[in-house]
Amino acid sequence: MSALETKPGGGTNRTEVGGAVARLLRLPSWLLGLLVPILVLVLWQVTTATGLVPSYALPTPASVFSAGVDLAERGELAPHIGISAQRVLLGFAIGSLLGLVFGALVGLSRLADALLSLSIGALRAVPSLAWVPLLVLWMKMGEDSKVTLIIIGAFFPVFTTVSLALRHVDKQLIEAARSFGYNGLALLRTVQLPAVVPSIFSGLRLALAQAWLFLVAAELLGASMGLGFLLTDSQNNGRIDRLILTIILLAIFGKITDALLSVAERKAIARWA
Amino acid sequence: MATVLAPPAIPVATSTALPVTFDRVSRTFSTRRETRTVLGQVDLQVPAGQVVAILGASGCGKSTLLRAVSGLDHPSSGAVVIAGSAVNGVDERCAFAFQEPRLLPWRTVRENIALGLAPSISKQAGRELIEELLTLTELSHAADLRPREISGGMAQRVSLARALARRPGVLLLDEPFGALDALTRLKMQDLLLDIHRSFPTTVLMVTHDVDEALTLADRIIVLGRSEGIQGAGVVEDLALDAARPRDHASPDFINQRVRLLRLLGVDPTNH
Repeated sequence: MSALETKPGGGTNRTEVGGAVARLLRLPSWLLGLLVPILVLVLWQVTTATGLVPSYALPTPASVFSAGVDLAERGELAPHIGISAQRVLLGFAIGSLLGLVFGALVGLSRLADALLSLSIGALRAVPSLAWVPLLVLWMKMGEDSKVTLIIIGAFFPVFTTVSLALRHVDKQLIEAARSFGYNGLALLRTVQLPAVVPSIFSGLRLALAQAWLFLVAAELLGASMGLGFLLTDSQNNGRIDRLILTIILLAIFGKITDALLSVAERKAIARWA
Repeated sequence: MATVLAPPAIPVATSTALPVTFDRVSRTFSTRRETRTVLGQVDLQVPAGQVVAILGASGCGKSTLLRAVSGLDHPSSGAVVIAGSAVNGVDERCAFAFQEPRLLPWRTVRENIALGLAPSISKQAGRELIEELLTLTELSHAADLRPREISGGMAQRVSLARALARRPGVLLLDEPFGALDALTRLKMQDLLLDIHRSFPTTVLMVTHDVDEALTLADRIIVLGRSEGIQGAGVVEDLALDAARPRDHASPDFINQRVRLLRLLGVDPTNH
């Protein structure tokens, strides 16, 4: 931008820039989205290969890649990924289901709202990591404590979006359905749930992001397997190549699961909104 | 008046029109600060199959009266009696069409109409009824469209068809054509008369439009306040026996129109 302002005759420059933007926009958007990662990769390669950044601070892309291949060949990578994926999916499924149930209760029933809102709000105010020592004390270091932490993480986004959305379903639609004899579960199934489907999906996407976040928190603090464990293990052994590999893997898996959910979301919105 | 649509040649499932009695119906709304009596004592007998237009100034309780019949609301005292049994809770014998179409946006036109089907009807009979209603309301070509893909007039026809799918003994219309443009409104009025021929039902229709009431109704009720009485009551009960289609230029029509406008507090010389 500053070049445009300082150079005389900026008009032609501006049209050139406009032309470049228009050409870029003609590319498919997934390709445009890959531009920045590719740029980062190139920058990374250049700075590490030239020795601008020492390799003990940042290894080259190739050595991170070969660290991955090495781990995979030794058969260690797949179990780490598998156990993490299992924890995330299990915690996400249970947490969002609970969030849906309690969100529906609080969103639909004024009694449930009065009884539960304060308590759930207070629980939500507890910083997530504060649960860890208690969960470890109660459930030991096993799977239960980790999945429970992820359940806590996935619960609140779904609970909040669903309870709020249900309270704002068009009153006129509800009254129209009531005038045709719909009430209780039939009303919920016919009007209220379909009306909040788009909100449910935005809650689910937030919950999924939270699930990955809480997974790493759980695994960092006490695990013998999983991507979070790989992070601490690599840190302790000074394996910065594996550390960066794990971060990249977390980014990739987080993005893939979110993309899957967003496809489902688009379909659901086309169907229900 | 627009040209009258040809009555449908298809056989239509018959419903039975039911008589409605308002027995000293009153309705009071209480807030923490004040109590407001909307309806005083409304006493009214509507024989089965009659088309009754209910006129009245804004806020005089016309909609409250309809809601009391449907069971969506309940009177503070008195009762609405349909065919001998009092309304208590949402009544299956009534169907409501609102001023707004109130269609479910995620359902097609056909599926929206199906919402009105009585739970007791068989699947096959329900399907046939919906097809008949689609033809009657000239929506067959739009049956698989979503509400956002159709015009306001079409949406209001869907709302009407949904109400008829219930095969109601009493059809309640709360300004169903109020939000439509003038031309569409005239077409909808013709449609309503066609429907009344095919589906014998008692019709209670709230409207703001004196001409509409005079065109469609067998009887016009004007709700309003009288001195010394809390809440609105029936201040005029006008029987219309002229055959349809009605001549808007006939002396009777014009006289009745003037009288009704005066009752509603409008100077008829300007309109």
